[in-house]
Order: sequence, then C-alpha cells, then structure tokens
Amino acid sequence: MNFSKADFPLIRASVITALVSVLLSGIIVYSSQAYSDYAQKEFRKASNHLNDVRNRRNNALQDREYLETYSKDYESLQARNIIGDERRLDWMEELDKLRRQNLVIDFGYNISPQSIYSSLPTLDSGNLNINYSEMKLQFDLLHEEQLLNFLSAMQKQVQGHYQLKECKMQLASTNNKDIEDNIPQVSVNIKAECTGGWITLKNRNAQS
Amino acid sequence: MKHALLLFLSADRLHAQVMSAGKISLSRNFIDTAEGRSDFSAFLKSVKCKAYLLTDLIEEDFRHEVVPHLSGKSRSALFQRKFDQFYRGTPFHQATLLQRQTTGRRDDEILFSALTNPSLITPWLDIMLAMKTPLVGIFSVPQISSPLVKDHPSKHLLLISWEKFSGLRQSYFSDHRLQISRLTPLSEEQSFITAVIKELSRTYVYLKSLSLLPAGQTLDVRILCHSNDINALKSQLPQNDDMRYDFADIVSVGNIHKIDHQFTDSDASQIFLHQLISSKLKSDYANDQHKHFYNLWIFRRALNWGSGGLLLISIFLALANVIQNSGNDEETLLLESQADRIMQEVEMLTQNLPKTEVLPIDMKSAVTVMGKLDQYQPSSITQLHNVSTSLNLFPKIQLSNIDWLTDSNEPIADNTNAEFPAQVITLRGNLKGFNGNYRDALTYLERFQIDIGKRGYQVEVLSKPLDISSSASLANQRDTNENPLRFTLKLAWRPAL
Repeated sequence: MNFSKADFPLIRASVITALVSVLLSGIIVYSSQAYSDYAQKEFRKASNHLNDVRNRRNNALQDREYLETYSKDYESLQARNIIGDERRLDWMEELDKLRRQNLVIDFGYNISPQSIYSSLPTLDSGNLNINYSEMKLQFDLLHEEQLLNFLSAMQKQVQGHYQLKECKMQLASTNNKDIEDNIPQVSVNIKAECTGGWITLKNRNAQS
Repeated sequence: MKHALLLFLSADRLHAQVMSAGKISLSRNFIDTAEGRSDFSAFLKSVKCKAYLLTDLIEEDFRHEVVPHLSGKSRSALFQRKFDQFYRGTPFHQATLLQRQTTGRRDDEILFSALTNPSLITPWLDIMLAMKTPLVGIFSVPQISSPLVKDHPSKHLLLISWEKFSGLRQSYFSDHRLQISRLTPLSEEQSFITAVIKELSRTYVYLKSLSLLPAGQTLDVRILCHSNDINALKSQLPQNDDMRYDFADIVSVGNIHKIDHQFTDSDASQIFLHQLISSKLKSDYANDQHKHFYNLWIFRRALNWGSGGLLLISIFLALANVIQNSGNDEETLLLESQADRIMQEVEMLTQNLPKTEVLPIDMKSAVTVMGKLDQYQPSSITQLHNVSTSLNLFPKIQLSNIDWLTDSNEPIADNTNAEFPAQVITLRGNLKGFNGNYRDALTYLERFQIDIGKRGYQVEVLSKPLDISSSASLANQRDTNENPLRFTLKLAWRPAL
C-alpha cells in the first residue's frame, strides 16, 4: 500500500488519536510505575526503619542487661587501674613496698616497652586494645614457697593485672657469703625467673 | 459487521443498499445516466462505510489455462503476460487457481477471468474513488456462487439464478469449481420460467459443444427460485436422462444464510449480495488503486483499535499496579506505626539507662577479656601445691629444676578443654637411696607418675634414670653413689570439659 501526502487528511484523526493514545498510555504506565516505585520505596523505607528501630530497642535492652551484669565488675577493673593508660610509676612504688616486706631474699624486675597482647587462643576484645607490658622477675629464694607467696602478694597488693606466663626454678649451686665484708648472708637455695606482663585495656577510639 | 454498503451493478443500473447490523437500512437505485451518477455521488456523501461492488454483466469472460507451477515474481509476471494477452483493454481481471495437476509437471489449472467492458464499471468506480469510498473489492455473481453449490454431490452442475436487474445467470461447475457462466438479459415480457426452459436447453448444447460435459454424463441442474415457481418449473422442464433437476427454495436459502429480506419472487440478488459479506472471498477484480481507500480505511481502523487497545492495556497495567501497591501502602502505615511505638519504647529505655563514660558493650568486652585471662592463668600456687603434695609422698625424689609455663601449642588430651592454654610443668631431679637397685628406682618413679597422673596431669617422661628400652645403649654403672639417677618429667594440665 502506497501513501501519499493527499491521503494524510483521511488518516490524520487516527494518527493523532494513536499519538495521543501512545502519549496517554506512556503517561499512565509511567505514572503507575512511578507510584508503584514510590510505594515500594516507602514500604522498604518503613521496613528498614522498623528493623533499625527494632535493632535500637535490642541494643538498648542489651545495654541495660550489660550494665546490670558487668558494671560492677567493670568498676572493679577501673579501681585496679586495668582500664586506660598503664601506671608504671605505681607498679614501681608498689613493687618497692613488696621488697620491704622481705617475702623473698631478693628480687629484680625489668619492664619492657608496651605492645599489643597476642594470645592463643585469640581473644575477642571488641572495641578494646589489650596492651601488654612484659615484666621479667628474677628471684633469690630460700625455698620455693617464697616465690608462691611473692606472686600471691603481688596479685593482691599491686593495682593491675600481671599475666604470668612462665616460671623457672633451679637449685642454687653454692651458699653465698661475702667473705670480704665478713657479713653473714642468708643462704640462697633456689634461683627463679618468672616472665609475664601487665595487662591494660584501652578503648581504640580513646585519645592517648 | 455493523455497516456496509452493498452495490449491485447491472448493465443499466446500480443498486445500492446500506446494511446495518444485518438489515437493510437504506436502499437506492441509480440509472446509468449522468443524473443517476450525480445522484450516486450525492448518495455517497452521506454514506461513510466500506463498500462491496457486485457485478452481474454479460461482458465477463472466463478462460482455462494450464500454466507451470510458479511462485513469487515469476508467477506474477506470467499472470501479467496472460492478462496482457487475453484482456489487454481492461484493468478488471483476475486469475483463480482451480487445482494443481497430480501428474506430469504438476502444472496449475488457472481460471483467468475479466470484466471485458470497463466502461460499464469505470464511471461508477471513478465516483467512488472521487468520494474516497473504501472499496473492499469488485466481485461478480459467478464468482460468489460457489458456496451455493458446495453441498451438491454432483461433479457436473449448472446453477441457474435470476437477478431482476440483469437477467438469467447460468454458471457451470465441474468438481465444484467454476468453469463458465452465461448471463441472458430478459425482456419485460419474458417470465423467469419460460426463460429457464428456453435457455437451459441452449446451455446444455453449449456445454456439449465445448466438451465441458463428457458424453453420456447427466447434467445436474440446481435452480435457485421461489417456491411459487417450483411446481411450474417441475411440470414444464423437459424430463430426460440428460438433465437432473434440483430446486433450491430461495426463502430457505435466505433463512439458512440469515438474510433479513422478504422474498416475493425468484430474484436472487439479495442472496448474492449477502454472499459478499458472509463469504471470505479470496480474489476479485479490483486492483490496489481501486482499493486504495479501503487500505487506508483498514489502516485507520487498525490505528484506532491499536490506540484503544493500547489505552486499555495501559489502564489495566496501571490499575494492576495500583491494586497491587495499595496493599503495600497499608502495610507501610502499619510498619510506620509499629516503628513509632517501638521508638517510644527505645526512648524510655535510653532515658532510664544510667549515664556512663564507656559503652556497655565495651564494659562487657573488658570484663569478658579479663575473665578469660584469669582462666588462662590458673593459680600457679595451686599447680605447684599439687606437685608438692605428690612429691611429699615420694621423699626419695629430689628436684633440681621446676619450669612452669602456659603453652597453647601443647597437644590436647581427651576430655580437656581446648579453649584454654595448657599449664606445662617440667620437673628435673634425681632419685636417692636406691643403692644401685635400678628396678626399685624405676618402679618408684613409675608410682610417682601414676600418682601425679591421678591429679589430672598428662605425664610424659622426657628422660629416665636408666633407659632399658631395646633401642637404647646400656653400660654397667661402677659406682652407683657417684651416678645419681637423673630423670626429667613433663606434666601438662588443662581444665576438664
């Protein structure tokens, strides 16, 4: 079928109708789709908001539970200077106090620079860094119980948490006497060396 | 069909009738004069529907041809050559495939036909084209007669009908396919019955002369007439073996085809006019130029239907979308109200919580971590006390070294908790007071191992005072007092499950 310009008036109304129909259909479908998208978006938004609010409620309930369960223990950790920055001066002063108690014949210590504690098995510390300051202790002992008593006293009297890793005790070879000073010395029967470290916990976001 | 203009063209007039819902709503006759054509032009102004033109003219020619079976452009070119050869002077021609031969080259048997006097048609057609009337096609009475004989079992059938404005039509069908057709105008004095009787015998002779009717073959004759004429025809028609008659009551035929017309005589014009709109006719005499406005009409209708359909579909889709999402709207409101209620709950909870410098989750982490570390470091006093208690029972054991450490890499024993690192104690010492009695010394050490094992330790002997295994070397000990019985034991402990 061939069309000419002269034919256009005959089909003009139908062509215009078709164009209007296409336009209207487009508008109708687009509008309904837009409405559908909007409704679905609002539904998703409301659904997400509800989930968010539910999570907030769960978090609030969890916070309440955590506060009830852990706040006293946490305060205890704070009181023991485990939370926050380490207090090396306090440790030194308190170790000196222990020295004056003569729990062992003699002891020496060496505290290394602080590092991040790596434990096996790994600990989930959440938002906290577990800081570790290694401290080696050398002892001169009359008998092995002195070591046990010293460690027990250190845990009780020094504010902090000393995580003991290792101890080695060895019979001393001879009795020591300072002949030149002619001062009788207490007999050292056992030499011991213990390794461990001071643990402190610090929030990762806290400024140092 | 809602509206259609049916036109019946005879030699001297054009009958027009407008069909609305199967009924004749308007009927006019136009004489083939300038005035008649002018009236027709005026008439077409008021009628805006598609038109069918049915011709019933003497000047219609039929030719049988056997042509090679072709298709596409070759077939069209062949047909055009035939039209140029047979019907050069008329644009109203057509070729109808009768059948394809079953033997030889399997050629096509084609019926070429044409309205050979275009001057009878062109004036009316020009008016229709000028008035932009959508012309469906130009048909002829013989062409549309086939449906009226398809129920007849005869292979050689002559259909006789009478059209008031044109005359007596006789169409011969072989195997229900049109072969030839004759139109005999009737004078006003001549009745339908006498014309049938007179023309039938002529036609029979004519068919014989053309060898269309095989020798000895009886010709079946179907006469389309009113019941009033049947008895007269029966009594007056010659009775012999050459012809056999069958009378089709025009009223019954009209009823079968649901033609809303009161038949008062044997005029079959209405039967054929209705055939135009009730039969699906494959070919006609009109060419593309004649049907141009009909094609435009179809295109316009397609556009209109398409537009309506598109609108309906889009409305349907939109409604479906709206209905589907109206549920979403309600659910959204429900969710929002739920969220508001929970939010109030959260605010109440938050207000009642004491203010702290750290987050409760961090409190939990701190307490949990320190609890774990405490568990990882069981009291060394407890461990050493256990060992001391056992050693008190074995005074002949003298220790020289005790090493204690926590070790996660220590193999995990059965029924112990793998979450905790092992407490490993290494004991080095010697056995005193056995005076070279190795058997007693080894038994003594074994008893110590059993005792310490009962206290929950995994005991591993790293070195024995005397290795009496088959894989070791062994030498005599000359002075047992100067050769202490040294040993090394490794004790490992983890909390039980």
